[in-house]
Amino acid sequence: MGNKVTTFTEVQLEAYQDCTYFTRKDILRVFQRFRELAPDMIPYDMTSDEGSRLKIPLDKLEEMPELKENPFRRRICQVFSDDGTGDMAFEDFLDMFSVFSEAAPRDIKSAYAFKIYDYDNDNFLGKFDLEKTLKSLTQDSLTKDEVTFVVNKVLEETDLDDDEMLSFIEFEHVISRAPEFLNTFHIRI
Amino acid sequence: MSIYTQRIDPVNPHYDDGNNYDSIQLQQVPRHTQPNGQHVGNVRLSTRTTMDGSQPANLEEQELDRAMEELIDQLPSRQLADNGVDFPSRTLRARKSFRGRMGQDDDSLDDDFVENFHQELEEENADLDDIDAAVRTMPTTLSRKRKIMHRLSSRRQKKLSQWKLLKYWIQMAFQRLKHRVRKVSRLFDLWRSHLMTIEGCFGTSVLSYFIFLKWVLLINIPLFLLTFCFLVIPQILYRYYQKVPPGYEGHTEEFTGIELLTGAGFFEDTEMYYGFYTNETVGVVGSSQYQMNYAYLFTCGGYYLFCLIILGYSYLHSYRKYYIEASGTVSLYYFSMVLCGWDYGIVSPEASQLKHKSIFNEFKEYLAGRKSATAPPTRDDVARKWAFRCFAWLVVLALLGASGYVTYTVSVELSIKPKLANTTSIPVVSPLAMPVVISTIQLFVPMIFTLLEGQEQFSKPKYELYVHMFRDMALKATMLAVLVYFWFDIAATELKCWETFVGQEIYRLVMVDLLFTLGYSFFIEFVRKLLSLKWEIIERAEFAIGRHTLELVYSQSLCWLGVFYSPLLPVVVIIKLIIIFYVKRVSVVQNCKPSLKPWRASRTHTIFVGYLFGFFILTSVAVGCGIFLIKPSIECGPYKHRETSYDVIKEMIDNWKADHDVWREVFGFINSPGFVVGLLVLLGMIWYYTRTIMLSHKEMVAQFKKQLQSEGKDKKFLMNLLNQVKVRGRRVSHHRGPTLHKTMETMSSSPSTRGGNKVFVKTVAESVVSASPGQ
Repeated sequence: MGNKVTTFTEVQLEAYQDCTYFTRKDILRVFQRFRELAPDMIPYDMTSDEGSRLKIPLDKLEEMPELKENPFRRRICQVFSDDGTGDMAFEDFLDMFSVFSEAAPRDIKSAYAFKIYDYDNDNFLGKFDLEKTLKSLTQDSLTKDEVTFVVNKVLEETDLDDDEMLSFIEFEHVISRAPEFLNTFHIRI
Repeated sequence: MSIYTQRIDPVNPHYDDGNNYDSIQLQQVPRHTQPNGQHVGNVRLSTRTTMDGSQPANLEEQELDRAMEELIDQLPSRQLADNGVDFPSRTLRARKSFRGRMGQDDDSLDDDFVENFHQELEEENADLDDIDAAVRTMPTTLSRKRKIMHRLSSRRQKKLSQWKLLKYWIQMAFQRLKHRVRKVSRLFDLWRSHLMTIEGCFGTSVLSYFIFLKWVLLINIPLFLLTFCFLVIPQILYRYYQKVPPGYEGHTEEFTGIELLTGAGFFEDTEMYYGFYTNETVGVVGSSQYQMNYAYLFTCGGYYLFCLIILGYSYLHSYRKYYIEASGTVSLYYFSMVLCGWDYGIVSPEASQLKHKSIFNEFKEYLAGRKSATAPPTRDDVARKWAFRCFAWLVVLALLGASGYVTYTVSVELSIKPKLANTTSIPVVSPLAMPVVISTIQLFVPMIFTLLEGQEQFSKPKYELYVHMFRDMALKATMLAVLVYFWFDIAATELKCWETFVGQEIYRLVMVDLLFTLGYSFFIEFVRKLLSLKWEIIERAEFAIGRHTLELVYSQSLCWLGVFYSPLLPVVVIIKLIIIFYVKRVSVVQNCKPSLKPWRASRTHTIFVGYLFGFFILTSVAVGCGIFLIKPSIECGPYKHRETSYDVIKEMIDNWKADHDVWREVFGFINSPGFVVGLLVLLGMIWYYTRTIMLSHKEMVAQFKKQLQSEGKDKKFLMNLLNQVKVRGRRVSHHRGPTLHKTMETMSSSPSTRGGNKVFVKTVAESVVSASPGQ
């Protein structure tokens, strides 16, 4: 890298390594990407609380190449940001890519997938959430009837207690039977 | 307004990117707070059950709705989720995931939580690994995880005995070692940037081919190291000490470039082939002796065992990860499409548009298929379909037979006869004739298979893919089997140094395969791109993932077949794989377009590893036959002057038996029929036992599901009933003042966390009945 400024203290790096699925090299690489988004806002020296205090705004985050084409990018940023607005500090950013990395197990990925698709934040995937997800996926090109049909089919396949909503337990149970989930819920950085 | 909302997309030009929440009032909810049990929550319940958000008209219905909302929020199951008092099951090890709190970010709650967590850990005697894994998988922010880890470790330090301190110290040292190993292995993260580019442009389907290639390459590296260290280096030392191996006159041929292709000539008298290896002992260091014949066999056994373990483990791992379904009764088609449909790795705009389109097409196809009333096929149709399928399989068998015959004839005419009769053979063409014929057959016959499958009317496209893959691999296996038979039967009896000949044949097969792969990339993919630039009608090629992966399986099985006869073959295969990677990577990005058809990468990965494993078994059986049954050549190699290569082992065991009686008894016991039969019976019992357990688990799961459903229905029924009673009671007791409301509020402030919904309903119903003015 060339600069002699220490970006993180040893204690910080150890803590980050323990709490995420990244190695030291990965963490520094993620920091580089974070800094590139807003070089004038983020200093090189993050040894005190800049990691949790300085936040990059949502519109800059959405321009990242990894997130730009994702129809759920805004939800992703909102879920991983501390206050729910979508502005992320470095620790949130690191956490996000750690969950999306290859090493993260299915459990934590499914927990966050549930939160991402839960548009109304009521801890259930109801018909509204599924409808929004479907619209984002197909860019609103299915007719209303078709959307209703598909949402009903999804609930038919997965709703165990017949309350027309997916709780987290039902979601996790079904995710463990869907083989494609681990492959697709993965962002490389 | 950001720029991408103005982008016009072909699927729906009026789609407004970004989340418009205009129909629902939502406030930005912080990451850890959930709707409090006391309030109705952030979203009005009417929008949860109806999608158009229309308000119910009359007052009574509104009241019912509101009452229903309050009731639902007071349910014990909701209260648990809100306050985050949802602790995992007792076994921390069994479920490494800790579905931690999604509750309030409050220090006092944190303390409680850490206390409970710590108690659990004490009970479980969890070591550092488990603690780490448990904290890492908590779905909460990084800063909270840090706090929790910090508190855990500070609590740990409070009450620790001497023994525990030592245990933790050892574990910490071990963890630091693991971190360092992980760091070093990440240095070898081969081709990371290339894989990222490919994933960004094409998604995980094409990426799976390149990851498979990388994995095959990594398997070959230990193979190469084994043969290099244990065979090649001692042979070089031997040659260095002796100055010339016995039986050979030294290098007579010069090195010209053509040897790289044919493998003959200069390479014939080098360590490349079996024939060059000596059967004597090499004095390596001082007086220690290194016997080449034992070394050769044991290295062979070693790498086959290593490959067996790696492949078996990887196949089981892949099968378990991707195939285990709990009951298999309901397909998860719609769920996977909606909630696992988007590939998060896609980066390029073109690929993402295509992905949207492909998802849209898939939905449309499925919806159209469901809606149209398909008339049941007539008996004539069914009979015709099955007759055609029989015919197709007969054609396939005929083609397999024909290709086997052609292989055999070409081998006899062009590979053996010139060598024996010493007639003038065309120097380059005749040794290469057999590999070229094989590769050409492999190129054109699958096209005939595709034509047949187009007519066979499979019910699902994935069946067509599976049948095609099976036929393709059967073709390759047939040709290889014919070749092996030819080598062992004819070449072994006619030629002087037949093992070297076999090694050369396999080398040539590998080289020609590489040339054909490069030719395919050039002629099919590159030229099509050039043509598509000129004429709009011709489209760019799509990357044929299945075909290329099966080619990798074929080339790896060639490597396994040939390693015994040509110990340096893994080097050749490694170089070939590296060349193929770079050529394909450039070709796919420049020349190919992403495919609209969906490709289930994980299922097919299991199938590919399965084929690899199957071919490994076949090739090791073939080589085993060669070792155990065929007479080695008299003049060259480590096993000259013996009946079979296995004789060496037999002699060694006889020596052991002669020296110690113990070995005689041990071997006698192993060879006795009783032992084998006993082993088989034991295996049969284990299989039967595991199968019974699996069946009983399946039954339990089905029963639990039914129970859940009936509980859900019970709940709905009771809630409706309760709601009606409550509303009626509230209206009646309106005159009596706030007593009823007070009762309701005391109820809601102290929910019973035990006994669940039914007890709750009972208590509320009792309070309503007691408060209402006599019924």
